[in-house]
Formats: sequence, structure tokens, C-alpha cells
Amino acid sequence: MRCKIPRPQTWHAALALAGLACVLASPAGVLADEQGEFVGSETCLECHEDVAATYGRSVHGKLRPYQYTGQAEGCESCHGPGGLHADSNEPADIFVPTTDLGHDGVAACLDCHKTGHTRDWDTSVHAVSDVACLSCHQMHGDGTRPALLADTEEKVCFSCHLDTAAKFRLPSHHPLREGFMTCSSCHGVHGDPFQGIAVGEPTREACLECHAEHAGPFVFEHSPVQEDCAICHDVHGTVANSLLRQNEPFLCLQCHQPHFHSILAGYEGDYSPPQGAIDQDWGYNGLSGTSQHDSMKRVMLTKCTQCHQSVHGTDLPSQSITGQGRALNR
Amino acid sequence: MFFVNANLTATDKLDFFVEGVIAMSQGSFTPFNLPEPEGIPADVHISPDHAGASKGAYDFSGIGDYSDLDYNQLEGTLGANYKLDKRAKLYASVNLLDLQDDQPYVYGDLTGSIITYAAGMTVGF
Amino acid sequence: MTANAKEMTMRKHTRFLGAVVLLLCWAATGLAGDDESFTEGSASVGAHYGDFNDMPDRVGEYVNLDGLSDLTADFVLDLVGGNTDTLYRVYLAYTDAATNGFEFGLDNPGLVSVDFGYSSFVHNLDDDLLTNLQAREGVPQPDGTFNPGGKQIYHTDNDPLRRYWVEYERFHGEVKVDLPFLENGVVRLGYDDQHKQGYKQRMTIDHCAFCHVEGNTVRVDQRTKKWLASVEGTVGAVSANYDFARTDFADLGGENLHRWKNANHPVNGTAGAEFASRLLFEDVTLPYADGADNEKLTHNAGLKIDLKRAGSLKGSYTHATRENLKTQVKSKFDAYAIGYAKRLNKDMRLTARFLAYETKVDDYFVNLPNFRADVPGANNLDFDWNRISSANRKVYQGDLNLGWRVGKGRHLKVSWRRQTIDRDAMTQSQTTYQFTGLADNEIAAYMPSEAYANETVINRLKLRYDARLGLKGKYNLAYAYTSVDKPFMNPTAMCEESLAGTPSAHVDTGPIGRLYYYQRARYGNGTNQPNQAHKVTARGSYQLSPRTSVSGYLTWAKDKNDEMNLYEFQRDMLTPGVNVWTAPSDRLLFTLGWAYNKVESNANLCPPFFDG
Repeated sequence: MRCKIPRPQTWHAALALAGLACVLASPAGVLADEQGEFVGSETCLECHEDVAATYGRSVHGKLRPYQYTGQAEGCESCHGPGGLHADSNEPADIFVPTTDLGHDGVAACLDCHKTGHTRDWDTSVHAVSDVACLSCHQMHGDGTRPALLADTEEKVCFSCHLDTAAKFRLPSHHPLREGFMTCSSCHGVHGDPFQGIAVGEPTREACLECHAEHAGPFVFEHSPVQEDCAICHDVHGTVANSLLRQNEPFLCLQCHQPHFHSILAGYEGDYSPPQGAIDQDWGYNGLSGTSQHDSMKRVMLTKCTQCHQSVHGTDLPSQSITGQGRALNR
Repeated sequence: MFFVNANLTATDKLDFFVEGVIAMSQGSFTPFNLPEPEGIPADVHISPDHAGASKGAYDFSGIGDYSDLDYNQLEGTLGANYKLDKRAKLYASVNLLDLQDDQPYVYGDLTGSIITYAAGMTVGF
Repeated sequence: MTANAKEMTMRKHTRFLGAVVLLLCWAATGLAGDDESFTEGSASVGAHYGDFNDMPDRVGEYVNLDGLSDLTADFVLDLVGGNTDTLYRVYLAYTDAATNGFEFGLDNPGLVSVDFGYSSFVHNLDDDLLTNLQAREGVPQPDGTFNPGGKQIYHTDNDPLRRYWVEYERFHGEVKVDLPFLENGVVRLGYDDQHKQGYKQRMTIDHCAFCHVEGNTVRVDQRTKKWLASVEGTVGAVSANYDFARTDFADLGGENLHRWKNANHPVNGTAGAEFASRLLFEDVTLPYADGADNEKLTHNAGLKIDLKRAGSLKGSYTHATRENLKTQVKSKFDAYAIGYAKRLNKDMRLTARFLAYETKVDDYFVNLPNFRADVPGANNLDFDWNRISSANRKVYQGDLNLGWRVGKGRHLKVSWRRQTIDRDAMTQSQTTYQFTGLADNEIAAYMPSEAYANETVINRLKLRYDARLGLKGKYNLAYAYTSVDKPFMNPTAMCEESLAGTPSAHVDTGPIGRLYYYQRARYGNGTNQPNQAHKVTARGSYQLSPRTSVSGYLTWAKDKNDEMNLYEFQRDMLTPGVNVWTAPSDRLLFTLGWAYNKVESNANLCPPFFDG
């Protein structure tokens, strides 16, 4: 059974849109009230002692009268009039939001939670996927969890997002399972216009909440950083270090060619700067190395960021004029 | 990746729990060879001492040796709780983090392990 | 930071935490005292010690390894309570001096609520050994042997086997005041303070005469402070909000300096000026790893109208600016969003969203010295360029979703998204030289196609079906197809054009008389973004018996980009997983899981011919 809880007709601000409303209004939009009269929470709690024990301890049990937006307070503010149910004791005679009802199950919640974090709920990805408030929140739990969550936030999210949970077990991951952040540290689970994270802004801004050192705006940019951090990073977990989707140099080589030095053959043997360089004190004194046939490839095709350290952007030009200072290695 | 969680209530006062994850993860580059260029383009200037010789080495088959990743990771916790009464219990646990690096990368061999022992008392009120 | 300094910081944190505990306990006890007062929760007091072997930084990326081998006290306090009007919550966890935190919440519904918290943890960072960076060119000889060549690569780790880490601290607080005279009337004030301290490795590279990469220890001291203020409320059918945020990021780590060596030709070392004239700097001490302090201001205003039977309509406007305080480069962001939701009938629900935003970053003119200036016979080419930000864009996005209850417990969803991204410059990876004396069409050969580079159009269709399997199970199936016209890519990523007849080559008329080229035009596209993507997901759970249930998922995705000019990019992903929960007896519970994730993709490797 579904019902729409009656509430004051406050149309004055909507009159300007009345024409649109007339066009879009549906006669099936609201079901008639079939639950009898309001009887007050005391009547409900006479039978529902289990709920009474915890309801008073929850934030809902401590609302002040002016915080209710409908005609009723207490239990009936969500469940609708309890008169018929109180008389019949039939569960079907009272509105009980369940996850099965999809969006219908959240209407009672949204009557009050129409602003703040939940303002954009009804157009959120979760809402479109028929996730209901009760999928994550437990109104009649013991009231001890923040935001009346049914379990820890991690467990609530991972009960559906099992594949994401697995990714957090990969060698490189954000410290979620260690308890130092939560899913909502990044995700606006109740929706926002960008379906992203930082309210009102693109997803990149969510990353910059904690990684503001990459915000710039820089003189020398790396365009994927401006485009989407997820081009290079899979933020839930990866095999490669630094949450890179693939290990270097493969990731880089999808958009760049390797240095031409990578096709050079290597000399096999020990080497050190020639005497001329030492005599002229070029700054390489004391250095030495051992080269193998594939050493040039080991240098150029292992980890691009050994030299291109400032891949997120920098204001400092690199050394080469022909590179126009854009090599991102300072 | 394999997970296991188990809880065993041995007696009314004693219970055990175990949690374990084994994760095997690889990142690999398919080896490849590039063909030798078919003659040096006429417009390419080659230093006189190398005239006519390709300076290239086009065998990239070893690339996996220095850029592939291969980790085997084990995370496990074994613990027990002993109820002293309705409100109080003792707990003890051991946690193991172990990573085997079978394909050392530029950070060297990242093989390492951490073991942590913990014990204490929880009181409910 | 030395170990002692780190311990001092931690002791400071510990004292702070101790003071907070006392304050919270005092605050909590002050709330007791009426008939409805209650307090419940738990407290754990214990100790731990541990040990590690080999290289623990990777497996213990977020474990504080300092003092791990010492017996350390730890405790957790988890407390909720309240009285007639007020609720409070205290959560406090102390593992060690660098790994701890608390959350405190006090809520007097209808009047005021206060939340604040603190957390601290250690992030261990990598130490790159750099050992792959040693090579010397081998010059092939007619007999198949290799003589030592002039190009040499060296590395030096100036702080070998150093353990790098960052201690991350965050404090956040929010005060919410309810306005009794206004429905949903709330004023919020918030503060967020992040502080990262520690040390990381940063490399510097000298590449003339020889390539020399050095690993250096750089101090990390970054602070991000954020202030928030917002007000919201409802009048009749209209709800409105305004949010303001100011974020200041400061890099307090100090200047990092490196001495760049003299530039000398690796083979013809006497021609020092020859290499120096190709470089912006040499034989000079300059900063590197320089953080950019920045300041961001954000304004967001929103309106939501409850149209009753006609649904709900909302809109918002966001204006944000960010300034790099070192270069004074500014970015500006403006966004408009509209959303609409309506139940069409008792079984169908429609939502629609439209979003338009523009990001604009100041252009920046990069003034460079001429190439090989003052070298006899050189052409002194001017490499100045105007940096047009790849962040610059106008984006328009529309979403349409239809939810249809096709039967009891069965739902079908159809979603469609269209997004256009119109950029000023997708990438500036190709040359932007100010060629002197060249015709426009010759210059154009070096520039990415304007038409290609700038506009991406994305269309995505998604179908999802949810159903119940009686009373014991449920499942959903989803399919999404995404078509992208000109996805983000580097259009001139690889494969260099011939030098013949191109303006990027110059035969020196001076004493050396060699050919120089600058950056040859490249024509090959490169990306890891598809122009077509298929994704199928299946997810389900079923209760096999009262004591056993199973859940599983499968994601299969196939991406490809067949619009590139050299090769077809492909990416295949397969991600299945199964979880089984079983309780063989009242005393034994098991959860077993298996997860698999495979991603395979290709790239086109196109190394340039070496003729140097």
C-alpha cells in the first residue's frame, strides 16, 4: 500500500510554474489517504515497544514541533495516519517504507530532507537505480550510528559494490579499509548536479580536496590532469603504484612515443665520464655505471616519472629550449 | 583474490575469529620486437663515422624484465574474545601483512611483512 | 624531519588528543541528568606490538612503522548518549602517536549541532633506487660489435635507502544552527584543516652533457585550510540554499635548490656553447619541486521547487575562482545545472538533468631565449609560445532517465546521456613555434587539427533490469553503450614526419655544419579513451537455505577506438566475483569470497629513428 501524507498546500511560490505543472501533472500522482485519522505517537508506542526503546534516543525522536513539515509529528510524520491500523492491527493499514518500494519508499523522507545533502536525491544515480533511503539507513536501529546508517559506511556501500570492495585489496589503494577515509570522503552519495563529488563542480575538484598541490593552475600543464584524473588513475585500487591504471611506461606510451634513445643499443661494460669531462670539471666526476646491451631501454622504458616528476603540472620550465620548457621534469 | 571470514563461538564465553585475504596481482607488458627499418631514409643525416649504419636496436623482448609487476599478498587476522561477564571481555589478536614481490621494479624488491600482536579488554556501558 | 623531530610532533599531537578526550568526557557528563538521559557504548584498552621484515613500506603503506616494535598502549572509546533534548557521540581511537583520531558530535535538534573531529595517519612513500638509470650508448661496428659511444646516463641517490613518509592530519569542524522561524532553515559554518608533513623523494635531471638523474630528499609541509558557510531554507514550495567556501593551499616545505651542471657536448666536449645555446639554463642553481600556493573561492546558489503532482524542479549556479599565488594565473569556473523529477504514473518515473559549465584559465605567454642564439651560422629560431590551458572548455550535458515498474519487484530503467565538451586546446603536445618566414600552411603542418582537438561528443545509453527471485533472491542486469565522437586523446602523440622539406630542420652553416632539428611534426594519434564502449554488468544474491546465501557479480567491458589513424585501441575488462555466506551451525559463521579482475589493453609503440 502506498500513500501520500497530506501536507499544507503551499503553492504560492509555484504559481509561476503553474503552466508547466498543468502540462506535466498526472492524475495518478497522488494516492488517496486511506489510513484514517492521526492518533499520535503514544498510541503507536503502546504496541511497538521495541521501537519505543530506541526511537526516543534517535535524532528523529528529539525533533521539535516546528521541524515537522507535515500535519503530524512523531511516528505519523513518516507512516501517515495510524487510526485505521490502530483499530485493525493490520500491517496493510499503515504505510511502511521498504526498499521494495523504490522511490515511493523515500517520499516520506524527502518531505523533510529536501535541502542540504539530499537536495539532489531525486535525480541522483542512486535514485535512478531505485536505491531507497532504507537501503543504507535504518530508522529504527539503535540510533547509535552517525546518520542512522544501518552499518559502518564501508559495509553499507560494499554490500552492493562488491567489485569495488575487492579493488581496495589491491597493492595500491586509498586508505579506506584502514579506516582513514570513507566512501563519502569522495562520493556525493545523495547526488549532485555533476554526479560527482565536490558539490557543484566536476569530479577533478574532489581529488583536489586532498591533493590541492596539483591544483595549479600551472604554466606547464599535462592535459589529462585537466581532463579527468581517472584517465591515469583508478582511485579504488590498482596493481601499479600510485593508483595508476597500468604500470609505467605502458600507461604513458598509450599517449606518447618513447624517447628516440630507447632504440639505441647499449655498450656492454663498465663506464665512467671521459678524462676530458673530468679535466674540465663538468660536474660528473666520481660517477660510474655498468651498461648492458639493453641498458638504454631500461633507462627509457621503465618509469617515465623518474625524470618527468612534475606530471601533474609545474610553473618551472624544464631545460630544453626546443621542448619549450614543457617536459615537466622540474 | 580470495577472502575468508569466520567466526567460531567455541563456548558461551569464548569465540574465535579469522579474516584472511590472498591477493595475487600482476601487471605485464607483452614482449615485442620491432622490425629493423628498411634502409635509412635518404633525408636523414647520419654522422660521417656511422654512415649507412643503423644505430638502432629493435629487440624489445626484454621489456617485461624491467617494467612488469608481480605481487602475492597475504593479509590475515586471527583473534579471540573471552567474555568475563555481560559487559566486559578480553580480546587478543594477531595480524599479518605479507607481500612477496616476484618481479622487482625500480623500487627494488618490495618483499616485506609486518606482524602485529594486540591484546586488551573491552567494557560495555 | 629527523626521527626526533617526528617524535616531537607526535608528542604534540598526543597532548592535544589527551586534552580533547578530557574535554569531550566533561562535555558528555554535563548532558546527563534528566529522566531520559542515557549513555551507552564501549571502551577498549589494550596494547600492541609488532615487528617487520625486509621492506615493509609497500605492504604496510599506511602503517606507522616508527615504534612498531615497542609495546604501545592503544584504546578505543565509542560513546553515545543524550537526554531529553540532546544527543552526543564521542568516538576516539588511539593506535599510536601518529595514528589516532576522534569524532565528536553534539546535536540538539531544532537548535544547534556541532561536529568536529581529527584524524592522523602515516602514508609510507616509495624510495626509487634509480638503479635502472645507468647506460652507455653502444656504437655498432661492421663486425657486429659495439664500441663505447658518447651518450652516457648516470644516477646518484643522494639519500640512499631513506624511508619516506608523510604524516597526514586533518581537523574538521562544523556548527549548524537551526532557524526556528524558517522551514528547513539552517545556517552552517565549517572549517577544515589538512596538514601533510614528512619527506618524499624527488628527482632532478641534468641532461647535457651526460644524463644524470639524482634522487633528493624533499621536505613535505603542505597545508590546506578551508572555510565554509552556508544558509538554506524552505518557503512554501521553494527551497533555496547558498554555499560559500574558501580554500587556501600553502606549500610550507621551503625551497628546493639544485645546481644544474655546465652544458657540454657529450662527444665534442669543446663545443660547450653549442649545447648551452640550446638550453634555457645551465651552470646555475635553481629551484625545483616548487609547490604552487593557491587560493580558491566558491559560491553556489540553488533553488528547488516542489511542483507537487508535476514533480520537482531545481537549479543551481556555481561560480568558482582559483589563483596560483606565485604566478597569479587565475582560473574561473561557472556552472549552471537544472534537474527535474516527475512520476508519470504509478509505475513510471522520469528524471532529467541539464548541466552547462565553462572553465577558463588565463593564457600565459612563455618567453624563451632564441635557440642557439649568437652561435655563428645558426638560425636563432624563436620558441616563444602562448600557453592556452587545456582546462579551458565549455561543457553541456543532458541526462534523461526513465524508471518503469514492469511488475511486482521488477524494474526497468532506461538512461540516456549526451555530453559535449568544447575545448580551447585538448593538448599542446605538438609544437607551437613562432616560425619565422613560413607560410601559414607550412606552420599548420605542425599543429594538431583544430577540428579534431577541440570537441568531444559523448552519447551513452544504459538499460538496467532489476528483479526479485521470489522471496529469496534478487538480481539486476545492466548494459551500457557509449559512443564518443573524438574522445580525449593526444592527436599528435607519435610517429614523426620525415625531415625532408620541413621547417623544423636546419643545416648549420657554421663551423660544425651539422643538421639540427627541433621537434619533428608527429602525426599518430594516441589515447586510452574509447570511441565505442560496451559494458555489461550482472549482480545477484540468493538465499540457498536459511543458513546459506550467495551473491555474485560480473562485469564485462569492451572498449575500442577505431577512429585513430594508426591503430585500433582496444581494452577488454572482465571482473567476476562470488561471495558465499554460510552458518553451518549456530556457533560457526563463514564468509568466503573470490574476486577476479583482468584488464587488457594495447598501445602503438612508435619510437623515432635515432640519427643523433
